[in-house]
Amino acid sequence: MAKDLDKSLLYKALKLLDARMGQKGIGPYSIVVCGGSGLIAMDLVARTTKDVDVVALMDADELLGDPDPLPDDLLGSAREIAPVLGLMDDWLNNGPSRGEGGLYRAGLPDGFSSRLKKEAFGANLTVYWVSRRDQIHFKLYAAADRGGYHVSDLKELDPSDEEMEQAARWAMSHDVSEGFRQILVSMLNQLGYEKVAERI
Amino acid sequence: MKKLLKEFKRHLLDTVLDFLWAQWSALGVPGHARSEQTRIVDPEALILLTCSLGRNDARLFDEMLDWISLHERLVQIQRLKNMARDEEFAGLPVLRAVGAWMGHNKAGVKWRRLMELDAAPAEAEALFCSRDGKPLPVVKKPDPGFERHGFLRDKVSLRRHAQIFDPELPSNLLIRLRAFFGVNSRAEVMTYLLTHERAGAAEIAQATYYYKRTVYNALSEMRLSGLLQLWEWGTENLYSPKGDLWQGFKASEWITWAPLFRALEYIWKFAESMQGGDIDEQLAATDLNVLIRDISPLLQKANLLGHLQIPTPGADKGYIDRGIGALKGILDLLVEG
Repeated sequence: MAKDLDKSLLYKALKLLDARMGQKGIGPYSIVVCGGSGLIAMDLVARTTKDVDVVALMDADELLGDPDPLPDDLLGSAREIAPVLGLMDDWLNNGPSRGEGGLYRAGLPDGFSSRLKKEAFGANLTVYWVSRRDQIHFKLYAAADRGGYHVSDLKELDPSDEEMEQAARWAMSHDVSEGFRQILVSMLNQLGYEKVAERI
Repeated sequence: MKKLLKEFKRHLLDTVLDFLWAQWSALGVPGHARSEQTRIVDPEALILLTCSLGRNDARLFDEMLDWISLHERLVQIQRLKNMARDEEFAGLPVLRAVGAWMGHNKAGVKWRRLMELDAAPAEAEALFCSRDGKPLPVVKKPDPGFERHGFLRDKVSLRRHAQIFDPELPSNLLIRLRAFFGVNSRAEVMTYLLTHERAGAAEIAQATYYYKRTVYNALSEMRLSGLLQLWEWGTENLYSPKGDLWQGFKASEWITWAPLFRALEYIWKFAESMQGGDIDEQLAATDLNVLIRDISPLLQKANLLGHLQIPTPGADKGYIDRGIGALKGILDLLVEG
């Protein structure tokens, strides 16, 4: 059974990935990471995760790029180190930005790239961690869509009313249906954001 | 860990070179004690491994040239090409140079077909290395034929002391039947049938590196001789040698050497990459795990996967110890028999 990534194992995996890329002459690559591993790396939520969710690529000019597909050589290196660290084969993936409905193609929040936190893991791999504010956007959208641990993460992020409203408006720009708005309103009420629910 | 990997590399090279000498010796190359092994030597697979790991022993390499000069009519060039391409042997550029070298005289015209293989290295490199990995310099004049194909070595000077293979040795069954049937698929087909209870065209084709259609046609025709027994197995026809006529040939043992030899090339590449400066334990573990992943299907193809005790991957030194132990188990296959 694959191991869960805590902060220590997450950093170990990313450092080993960088070293493996260097050994094979791959990269450099910069990836933008959201999801559980982003929350763990930024000390926003105390939990473990199974994978590293890449929401975008970043080029040398610090311009965001589509992560679907992720470069084969990057994925190959990630798969190669997985068994050694006991991780899932696809521990590095572009799940949140896969396909037309994915976050990257559907549109990232305004000012997204200016809020990223850059961290180099060596000469070959740089990770841009998604900010708390943008994680709230993604978590609210995911919570309304799928519920579950996304709701727990959202609660732990403890957004202000202003943050929650901004996130809700962004989420509604991705799913413009009345049904989705109603789910969002109901969830905001349940989470104690009645004023935000009223405003949207 | 560094010491372990260094010792493993030395053990690997010593074992492989001893094995190559033993196999060439069984085919008629002098200079090594001839063993009584029953495992059938495959000349084409042997040439391919000698074109890669054999570069660590210049004398062995030239004994191969001596042997193929004497037996060149018994080498199946198309099979050599199929095997080289199918398994992506590392020694293709060297094989190409050997083909050009053999093809320089009239008798060796068929060898020129090997020049259709992969291009030579971009920059000329030493053909031979010493056992410690250092390139052997050209002492006198470089051989122009090899130099043209990207390899620097002294001019080839054959000793011409290779002997015709001993047909009585069980390990020479394939080349013996090739001498009898001619250089075509029937020698391999019959060798395979003599060393297995029964087999069909697909299985034989995979193990012998002929096309399935070629083997199928050969079996169909050979059956007309009345010397093969046919067994219907579902939709497939299986064959076995009929009667007592072939009893005296059954002491030999078939091994599909080519995938095992390719696996040895992978293992060698791993061992070489683990030399030099500081070795990161986790990267070494990754390389080892990738190596085991790469060689597993090859060993499966050779029906030898059971000899690889695959350890559970980990980033610790214990994993590297266990992995090296597993690789040594593969090398033991070369010593047995």
